Amino acid sequence: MALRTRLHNYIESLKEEGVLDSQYDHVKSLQPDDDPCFLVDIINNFCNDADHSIGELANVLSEPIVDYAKVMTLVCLLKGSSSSIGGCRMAVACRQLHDASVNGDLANCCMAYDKLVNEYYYLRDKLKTVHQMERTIMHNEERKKK
Amino acid sequence: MGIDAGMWKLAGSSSSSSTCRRFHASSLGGSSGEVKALVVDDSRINQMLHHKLLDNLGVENLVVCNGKEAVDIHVSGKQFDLILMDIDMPVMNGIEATRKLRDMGIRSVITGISSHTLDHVKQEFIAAGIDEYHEKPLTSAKLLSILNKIKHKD
Repeated sequence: MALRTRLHNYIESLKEEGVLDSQYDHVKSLQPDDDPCFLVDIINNFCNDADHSIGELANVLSEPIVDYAKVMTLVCLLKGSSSSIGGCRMAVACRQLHDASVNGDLANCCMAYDKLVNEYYYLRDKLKTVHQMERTIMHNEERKKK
Repeated sequence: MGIDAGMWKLAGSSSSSSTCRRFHASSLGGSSGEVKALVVDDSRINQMLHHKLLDNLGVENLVVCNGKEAVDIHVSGKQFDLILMDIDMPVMNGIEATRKLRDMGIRSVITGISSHTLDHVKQEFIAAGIDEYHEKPLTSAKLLSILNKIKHKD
């Protein structure tokens, strides 16, 4: 119970900080009773996919001729997944990169990309803490059942 | 024409969930039978979330990874009341897939779900034949309003 309270308070602090929004609660509410790994899987998949997209973006932005359409596609993917998981600050950073790529402004794209990376790493770090706490709670509950 | 192995079926059969309500078309005032949905999205997160959202509402649903798979599954004879269509996908995007489905005579409700905020992209999506557009994330409230529109359509 203490860990659940601690997790709840941690999530609330992330919301106050603006890192997460109520969409996170919505995602958590989708977790079925018979699949305690659902939220953990969502977080894992989000981080794996975002790691890949962030890396791809770095490659695209470092090309001699930048394919801004590709930048926009990757950014839309990141914006979609970050907003779907409740990562609102990261979604805002995605929007800024998207706007810069629409204008074909490489300098602003690079600045926006750096900001996006910072926001993503920050969010990822926080989600990993959530992930660890959720897994500990799951593990404790499984032990109680035995 | 076969279905790509990347497609996966996620039936709304979580009978262990006491909160699962079968979303019957008959309860929507339309013809009898359950509402069936197709999720078309290349993002694993959104696939999982949209599937779960539909599952929790008792809507039987399939998930495919791109527009081509969406078209292929209709060519195979499957039909859906609702298609949740993303825009940016590999192989075939949502705009092209929507156009092809409408050309095939598919009259399902197609709801565009995307992170795109560019007006011209949304306009192109609408011109391709979607019934409405929602920006991600898709919430239960948005999904319920979509499902209610299917009721009124029937």
